[in-house]
Amino acid sequence: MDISYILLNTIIYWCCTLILVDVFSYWKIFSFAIGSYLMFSAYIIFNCVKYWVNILNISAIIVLLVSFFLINYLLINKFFGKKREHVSLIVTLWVSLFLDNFCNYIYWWHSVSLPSEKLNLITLFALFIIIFLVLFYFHKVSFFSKILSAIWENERLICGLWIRKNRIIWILFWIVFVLIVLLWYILLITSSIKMQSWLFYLIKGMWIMILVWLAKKERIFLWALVYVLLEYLLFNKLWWSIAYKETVVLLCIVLVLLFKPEWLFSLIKRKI
Amino acid sequence: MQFIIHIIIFALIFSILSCWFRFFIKIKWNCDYSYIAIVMFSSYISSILNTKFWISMLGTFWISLLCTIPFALLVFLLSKRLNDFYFSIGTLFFYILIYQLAYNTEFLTNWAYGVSNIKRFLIWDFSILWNEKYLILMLIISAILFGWLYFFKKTSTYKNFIWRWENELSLKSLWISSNKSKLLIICLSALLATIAWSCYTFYYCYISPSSFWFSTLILILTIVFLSYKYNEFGVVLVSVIILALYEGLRFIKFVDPGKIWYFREIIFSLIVIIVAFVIFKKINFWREQ
Repeated sequence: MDISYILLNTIIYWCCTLILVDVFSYWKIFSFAIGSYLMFSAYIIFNCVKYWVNILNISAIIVLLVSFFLINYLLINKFFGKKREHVSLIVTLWVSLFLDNFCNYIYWWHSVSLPSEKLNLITLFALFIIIFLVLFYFHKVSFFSKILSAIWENERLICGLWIRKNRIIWILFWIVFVLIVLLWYILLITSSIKMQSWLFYLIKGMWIMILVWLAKKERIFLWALVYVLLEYLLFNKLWWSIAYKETVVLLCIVLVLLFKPEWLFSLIKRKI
Repeated sequence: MQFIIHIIIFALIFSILSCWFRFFIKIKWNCDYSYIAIVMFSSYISSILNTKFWISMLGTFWISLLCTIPFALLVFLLSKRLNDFYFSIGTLFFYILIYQLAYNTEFLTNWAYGVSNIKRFLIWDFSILWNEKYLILMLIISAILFGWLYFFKKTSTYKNFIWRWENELSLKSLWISSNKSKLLIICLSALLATIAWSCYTFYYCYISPSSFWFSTLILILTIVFLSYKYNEFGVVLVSVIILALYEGLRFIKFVDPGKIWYFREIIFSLIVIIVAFVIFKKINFWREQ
């Protein structure tokens, strides 16, 4: 059993799921664009490392920053409640397609990776501990996360009292963006990636969200580990066809949505 | 001339698809993405029946309609379990699942990527080889469908169905079920989806999973959002303009021919994003409901 493969994939899926959960629980939007931000930023960094900063890379960076910050800012500040939920589902889906096609248009469609030696187990453990401690501090210890939860749950009241929440929004944007950047770095140095994979990371993140139905963020790592072990067992040991990987996960998601939808969406209930 | 005929046929197919899609958006601001899943499923059934069993277009339409009824029941079940925004997510994942399955069913297509050599014969030996004849067929089908939709929307049955779906919560509190109206509307959407995509399948004589990627949704949603305030005739007009633009972008000289596909998708996804922001900002959500 390849421990470094399992640990690495666990960290990747854990981070993907955490980003999805944070965006869904704090902003109350279901962002389909997270996978695309991830992949697109990986392509930008790969091309910057290989070809330095040129006009193409600068335009790509501008597009990424505008699509991430502007779109999310508009969604949060111009829409509230149910309107935000509906418009975010449509807009983030098309933002992801826009980024997918934009990336293919300027960088063409080949897969990218940064050459490096394989990360050793100690480095991986250290990486995991650092990420876990930072996120644990943010979610559990710091008062900041409680403020964020209070703001999003009392959004209308805060707007009615003319309290400006923009600084908080920008801080959260930057936290999510840094998480995305960290994740692409791990992906680039450990494997080759293709822009088309954005949907698969999103699907797997969704599946792990379902597994965390008890709405405890600390358990995301455990369930990501369970998922990776299951994946390893089914597709590496029992030799199921890899083509069925996403189909199996999607089938499970649809079945859960049919019979136990609260498993996926219970995360929106936050306790201060 | 062939280009104009192609645009009109394409526009009629997409306007049939769009008019029922926008119906769902108007009721509950729900995008019912399972519609595209039903389209995909019925398309594969029609094409496989035609290529393997030599069944005509008319025959495959009825059989694929029968096969999509279980799908409609699944969507109905989803609508019972999920409301509003969550229904849209549920149907979106249902659609992605069917899309993935299309890649995993190569044993049905003789291990080819898609289904090709679809024969365009309407009934028995009567073939429609020329695009002009296909245009006449599409005009007849569209006239019947839009005419029926136009008169159906004026009936009290339709208004009753809409009212029942919009006031579902109030009806539930009075122990009145709106299941029948929901099921009928979902079955009607399956019927329209089957008709539209059977026409598409027999027009192109080839389908593959990539025919049902999100790029199809881009076109449909663009047409739906831009024709939101218009009637069925407006939908057709908007479809013609949008598809003329979509197909016309193929001939742009300053873009590398190998990248025209991506360029078109970029333009249209930008249009959908901007239009979605504008439309959702303008409407009074609760009054519309």
